[in-house]
Amino acid sequence: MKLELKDLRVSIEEKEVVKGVNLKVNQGELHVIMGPNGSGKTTLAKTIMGHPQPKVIGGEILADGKSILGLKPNERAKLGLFLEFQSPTEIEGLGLVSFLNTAKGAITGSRPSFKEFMQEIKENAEKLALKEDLIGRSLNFGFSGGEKKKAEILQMAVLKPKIAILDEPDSGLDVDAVKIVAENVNALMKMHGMGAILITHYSRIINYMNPDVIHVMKDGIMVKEGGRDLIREVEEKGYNI
Amino acid sequence: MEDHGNRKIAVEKYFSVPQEMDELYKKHSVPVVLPDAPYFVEETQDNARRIEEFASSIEEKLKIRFDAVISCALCKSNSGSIVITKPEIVNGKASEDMSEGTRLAAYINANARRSILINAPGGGANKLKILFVNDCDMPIQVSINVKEKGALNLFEYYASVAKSGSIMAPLHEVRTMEGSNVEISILHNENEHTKVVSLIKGEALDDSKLSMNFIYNGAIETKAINILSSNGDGSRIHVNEIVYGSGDQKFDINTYIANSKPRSQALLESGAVLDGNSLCILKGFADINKWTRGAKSKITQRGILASENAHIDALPDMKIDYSDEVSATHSAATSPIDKEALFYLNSRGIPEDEARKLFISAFAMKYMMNISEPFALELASSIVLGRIEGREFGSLPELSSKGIWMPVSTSR
Repeated sequence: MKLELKDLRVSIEEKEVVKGVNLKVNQGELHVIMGPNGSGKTTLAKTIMGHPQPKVIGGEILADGKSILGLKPNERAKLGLFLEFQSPTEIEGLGLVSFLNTAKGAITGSRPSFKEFMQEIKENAEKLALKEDLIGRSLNFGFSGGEKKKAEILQMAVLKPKIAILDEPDSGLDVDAVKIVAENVNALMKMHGMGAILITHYSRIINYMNPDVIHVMKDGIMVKEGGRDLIREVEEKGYNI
Repeated sequence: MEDHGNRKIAVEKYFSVPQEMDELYKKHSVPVVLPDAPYFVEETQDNARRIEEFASSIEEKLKIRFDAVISCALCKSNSGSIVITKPEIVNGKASEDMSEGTRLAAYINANARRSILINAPGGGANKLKILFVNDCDMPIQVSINVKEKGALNLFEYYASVAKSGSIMAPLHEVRTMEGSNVEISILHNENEHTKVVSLIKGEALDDSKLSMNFIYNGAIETKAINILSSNGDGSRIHVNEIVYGSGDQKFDINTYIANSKPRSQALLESGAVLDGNSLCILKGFADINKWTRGAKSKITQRGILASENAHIDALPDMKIDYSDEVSATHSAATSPIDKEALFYLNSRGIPEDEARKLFISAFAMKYMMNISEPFALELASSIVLGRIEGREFGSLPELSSKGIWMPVSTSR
């Protein structure tokens, strides 16, 4: 899959938040978007996934050259897009396994057998050092911040998207957990050729990864792009670059 | 004569709860019009056979056997723990100047043709399943008595064969003696020709536990008054209510919980999902009496409006007469289906309609998870999930537990 944003402009409640973003992401590539709070990063992520609130007022979102602006979020997921949420929703009463099984069935067209599916979930949970008892619980309900982030990565590992948008997967995580999350994303990219857009404030997670391009987003536009040197520049000068 | 049955009942204030006098509670109410005289079907062989066949068809479909089948035309018990008698004497007659609960209780007691006595001896576990079939107006007394250190898990399933308006009106009295552990799950799945008037008065004595699970699903109108008291030191009452309404269904659920002794617990959790033009009034009242050090009381009411025309009134209230080491909280919240939650589910590939059903079933499931008896849980889940899929109330779906991978636990 090739995901392309062309001069994308997005508003929320009449206020333009994303003001003409261009981005090309191929499967297997890792793009990092950094930027100060309120620069439009999360709105951009939600817009790509088809959230009903942000309104696209200009430009295009293309998947393999075709516009996906008219597609619903579930149809975008079926194409191979995945959004890792900054604040995942808690749904008490909906079992994590039940939910994931339904999601897997919706994306692939058939539900996997229970035994194999549980095995896959358990293996991935182990890689993420996620407590096994969380698997038997309600979706994100009562999970700690770190557990929620890991559960998001677990979902990604099971659903195997083509391109994932990771909205601050490192926020609220301790040093060890950041490394575990990074390693799991790396593994998915390597094993399944997944591409990713990683939104973050910190260089810490990037130190464990191999980004192809670093983008700096500020006030709704991409102001700069480059390699690892750009991270050092941001660390030294902040976002006044 | 049974020691807990066939008793004379003083009607005055027998079933009144303090909140009945409150103007707000009076305003939010679904009035019940009682017939001058109940309509009863004749106890003929044909009518009895009809109920027998109906019960058998349910048993066959559910692959279980009920311990008793109760209707007007047929009453039979297959268990020594369930005794069916005729009520001996009941005082009083329903009149308009009575409080609502007392009026309804008086109607039932004055007209009941059957009294069901359920005894659970001490020192052992008892599991009982009873099928109530509404084949005409059915005022009926149910008396449940669990002896010291006894255990009872009772499941009552209410169905209906009525073809024109009728009232299913069970009046329960529940008493759990010292150290006993009781769970009663009541699933209403009557058809659209039936109205339900359900009255329950229960008390838990020292160190006993009484869990009540109510699934208000069937019937065109439901009026329930539940009066449950933790009357023993260290006693615990846990009331768990789930309402699923659609079409023009109306529910008026009035639950009163009381702490009367030290270290007692009285918890009420109510959840309602309303679709179509349905209406639900949830009244929860907690009464913490004097000299109840260490008592704990909690009311939680939650509602989901699945359509624009559905309506929920949640009225939690408390009266606290003692403030020394007492814990008391109440809360209520009603909202449409959470759009962020829907987007979350959509973003995982789940289409909007399915996501909506998943969200509602999750909401209902967190209440049904309190049902510990597997069969009762499976049947209740199947019926509610069937409703979410669009099935009419009063019908019986295939059991669908194989399709439900429920969370093992809903808490940390």
